[in-house]
Amino acid sequence: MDSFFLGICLFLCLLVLPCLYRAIVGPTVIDRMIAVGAIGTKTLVILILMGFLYERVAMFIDISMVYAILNFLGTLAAARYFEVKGEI
Amino acid sequence: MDHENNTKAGKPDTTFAPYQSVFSHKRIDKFRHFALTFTLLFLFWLLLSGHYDLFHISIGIFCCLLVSYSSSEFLFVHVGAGDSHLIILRLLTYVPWHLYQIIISNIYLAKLVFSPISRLNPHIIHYKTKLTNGLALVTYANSITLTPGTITIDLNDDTFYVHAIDSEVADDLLTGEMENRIEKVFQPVAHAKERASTMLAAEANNLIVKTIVRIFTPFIQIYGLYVIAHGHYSPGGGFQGGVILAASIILLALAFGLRKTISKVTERLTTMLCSCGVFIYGGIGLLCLLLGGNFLDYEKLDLFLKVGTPQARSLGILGVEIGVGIAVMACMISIFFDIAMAGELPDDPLEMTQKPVDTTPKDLLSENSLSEGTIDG
Repeated sequence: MDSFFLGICLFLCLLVLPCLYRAIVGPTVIDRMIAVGAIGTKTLVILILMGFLYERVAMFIDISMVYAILNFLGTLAAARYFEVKGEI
Repeated sequence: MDHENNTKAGKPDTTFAPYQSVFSHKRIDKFRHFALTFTLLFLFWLLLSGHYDLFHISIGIFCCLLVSYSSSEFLFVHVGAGDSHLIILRLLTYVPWHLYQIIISNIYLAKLVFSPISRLNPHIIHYKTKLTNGLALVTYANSITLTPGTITIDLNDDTFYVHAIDSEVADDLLTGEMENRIEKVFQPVAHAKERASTMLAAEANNLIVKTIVRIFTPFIQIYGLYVIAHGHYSPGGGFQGGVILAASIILLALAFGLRKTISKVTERLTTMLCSCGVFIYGGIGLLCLLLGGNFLDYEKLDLFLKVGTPQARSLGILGVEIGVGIAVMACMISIFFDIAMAGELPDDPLEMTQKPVDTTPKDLLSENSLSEGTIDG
């Protein structure tokens, strides 16, 4: 089971790379925001899988919840900023 | 503080049932909302905590009372007091159906993406909805976004703007099955009809974000308090919990506007809390010094706590964590306010479209911020 989780972890890490490409190159700010959000979601899953690997799920769920809150907050703050500013 | 008064209110409300006619309906509603919020938050706390001894449960009860007192009007605003159970029951039948829809569209979308010929035809559709209840609108919008292939872009009065990745997905949405099901879930019972159908005027703008933030805030606050209270067993502690608590207030400011938030969480309050936190931290440290140990030498606290050295250390750390948590929370909030205001309290550009009936005396606020800014510096 451990190697299964490890495999998923590595696969998700690989999937982060295209998002990272979009976040760095992305022509518009919105591209970057969505890319960062997607990376955040993947990190969440990776964190919980790491919890299974280290057999401390409870601890890693705590961490991933904080990550989820801050991810939501960051996206909302960026969206709000560009909404008020009125230009991208 | 008022927490002592509310200890009574946290108990199950069965004893009050015969006296319902004595109290006004509004008061009963308020009390019901408080009790419901408290119950939900306490269940959440038990789920998080994992320590079920008397000490931790009493900390949990205190934290839940604190949060449900400060934010009892955040949950359960739209729902009339009578029909909330019914809505939760109906929601339980809606969720499996929606999960099934998500799986189906996932498979469909995967086929679409991997098909050799590109069949993607992204476009934006807009249509009027028949839903009127605020909570129903938010549930509908989020259901659309959760289903792969469609994303709610905007909700303007009663017009939905939805991005669909292909015309079949759009047609599926326009059949209105999801809408009908959600309408059924939030159908008000007869006596609460006019109350349930009214939307809060304050939430007309940015309904989705405001509702989500409103519902999440109490849970985020409980989570922050949990991180502070369990800092000595699990990751986290004063700093992290303080930041999470501050994040909940910053979320409120982002969703409801700076002006409204600052009228509730005043700079006076944050400055006071900031000093209180430092006072608790330094006070415990100096107390150890006075009792003949080093600074923050928790063992010496046992001289008057009388609970044994390890327990005294644990309690001392908990006290310091609480102090640090309060100080960090207040500092983060006041840093955010200072940066966002840049020295003055501007009119919120997003709230300008509404009627400007703000009664906050602007001069007083800016004066306050000025004087307290100098204290901070």
